[in-house]
Amino acid sequence: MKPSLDNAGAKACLADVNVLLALLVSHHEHHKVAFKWFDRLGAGEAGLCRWVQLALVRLLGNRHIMGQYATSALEAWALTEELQQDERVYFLAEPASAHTIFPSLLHYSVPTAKLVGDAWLAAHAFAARTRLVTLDSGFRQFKGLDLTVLK
Amino acid sequence: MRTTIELPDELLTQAKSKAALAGVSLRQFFVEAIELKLTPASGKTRRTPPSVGGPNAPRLGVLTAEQLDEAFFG
Repeated sequence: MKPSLDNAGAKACLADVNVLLALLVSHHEHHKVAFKWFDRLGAGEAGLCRWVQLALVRLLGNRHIMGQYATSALEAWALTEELQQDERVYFLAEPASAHTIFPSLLHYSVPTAKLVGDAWLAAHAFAARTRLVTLDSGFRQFKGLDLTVLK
Repeated sequence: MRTTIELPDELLTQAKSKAALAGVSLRQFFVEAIELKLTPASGKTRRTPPSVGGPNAPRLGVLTAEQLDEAFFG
């Protein structure tokens, strides 16, 4: 299936895990960039999906990544729940069609697990007809994806 | 209760599309939309995002594929 988009001008987006990690982690080198992006959002414009929420829980609790600031899984989950109390954040459930779009995005030169995750997130954005906001330019490989790469 | 209302064509088209994407019937979609409209403010407010970390922590950059693989599956 060839994904297509027609949501030009739509403000709502799906946030990638790297963006929200940068937003939540004050010592992240892109914290200010993520904070600035978040600060400009209006109510209901930042979509959080379950995949990203669970990825945040895993990352925030990972000592290799967070060092002394690693949280417990429960604390990390609470942080993601607290984030959703902000009027700018809303839960973006996976449309059923993400399932059918996903296989069409599995064309990689390097078949890492991370890229599989990226493909799923891209499929979600395609299916929800929303823009994906990320810090990772690697998402440009998904042709036709409505994408904002924060810098 | 059954009722009849006149909707702009474009609005109805968008509603049908959104309902299909969400996998719900048009009726269910309208029920939820109206419930949302009738519900007083959600209680959500604009707030400072929660934060973890500290000024003395090593800088954390955009995670590489390898770091993510390690975090998720290592």
